[in-house]
Amino acid sequence: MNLLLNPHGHELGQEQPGMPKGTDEQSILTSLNRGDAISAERKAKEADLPPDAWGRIENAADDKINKLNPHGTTERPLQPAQAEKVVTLAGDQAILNYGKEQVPFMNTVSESQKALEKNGNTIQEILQAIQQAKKHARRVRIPIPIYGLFQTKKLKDDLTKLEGLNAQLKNPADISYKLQADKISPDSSDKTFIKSLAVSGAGYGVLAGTAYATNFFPAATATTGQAIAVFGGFTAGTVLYLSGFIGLAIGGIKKLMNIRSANKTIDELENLETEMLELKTKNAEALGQVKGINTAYVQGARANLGSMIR
Amino acid sequence: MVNSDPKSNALFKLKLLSDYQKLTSVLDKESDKLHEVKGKQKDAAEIENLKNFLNKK
Repeated sequence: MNLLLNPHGHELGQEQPGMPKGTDEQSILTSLNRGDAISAERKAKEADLPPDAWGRIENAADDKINKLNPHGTTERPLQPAQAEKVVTLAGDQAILNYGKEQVPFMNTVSESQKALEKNGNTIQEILQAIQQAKKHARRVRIPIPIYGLFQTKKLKDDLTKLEGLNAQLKNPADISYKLQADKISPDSSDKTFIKSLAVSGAGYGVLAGTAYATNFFPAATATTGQAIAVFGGFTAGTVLYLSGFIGLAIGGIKKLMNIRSANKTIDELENLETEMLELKTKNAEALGQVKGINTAYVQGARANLGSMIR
Repeated sequence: MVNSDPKSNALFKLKLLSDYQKLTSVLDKESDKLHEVKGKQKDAAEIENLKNFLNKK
């Protein structure tokens, strides 16, 4: 009978204690490269390998971990704390992706987060454009006719740019409204799993991410519902108002653009800058709240999935 | 936690990957169930619409 033998002369699948260590290493690496980390870990726990083999396994694990990292790194070996951070973030993202698919509310939260992050960048660009506009407005005051006209042209370009940036500001969704809509008509198919996510180790109060599930937990309704209502009112109201304000302010400034009203133009730009700084703070606060909802959802999911994944 | 011993580091990282695989596996299963339920709901709604249509005829 022809037996399939490994390079050491042992029958495959019939490896004996004391046989060369390379077989364990290869088996662990094969499982890992096949995407079966569960099996790789189980085999590794039982393996007795030399330090250089563990080094190669660690390197292979680093490769896998790095694939979960959207930013990537060439660092080798990965620091354990860094590896843990990468894998935890990937797991959080998987939970949030699931949440977006399953709970309409979490999808709305995700869209709001994107809008607020984009607003943050746009606001920063607006602040820089205001600085440029102020610089050119100051130069408009210099009483050299052609130079003044040239600076007025630049100022006009700055304000046109500000108008364009202003148009990019988006109001995040009114989450309080969305929450109400979901509470009126929750999808019955979601109930079981939402229920499992909703009992959070972090406590009902902070579990805003699963406020959708309040039908199942009346005690949590007041606190989470209130938190969401505040958030929704804040983002929908404040950002909308300030976005409109910028458009009006720029229109006003454009009317002032001449040498006689240069000082007034600068005053208006400074008012606009103050308002934009206020908006920047509020936008950052709203973003913090959105991230808090995501964090609460992930914590709740992890707490409740714990027994299922161990 | 982990020290600089290659074995400890390798085991620690394999555990991280193993836990991640378990997590995504549970989420994938739940996602499949969700799609199945939603599919059934859609089918039921279409049957209901068809019944209503036929009743009107």
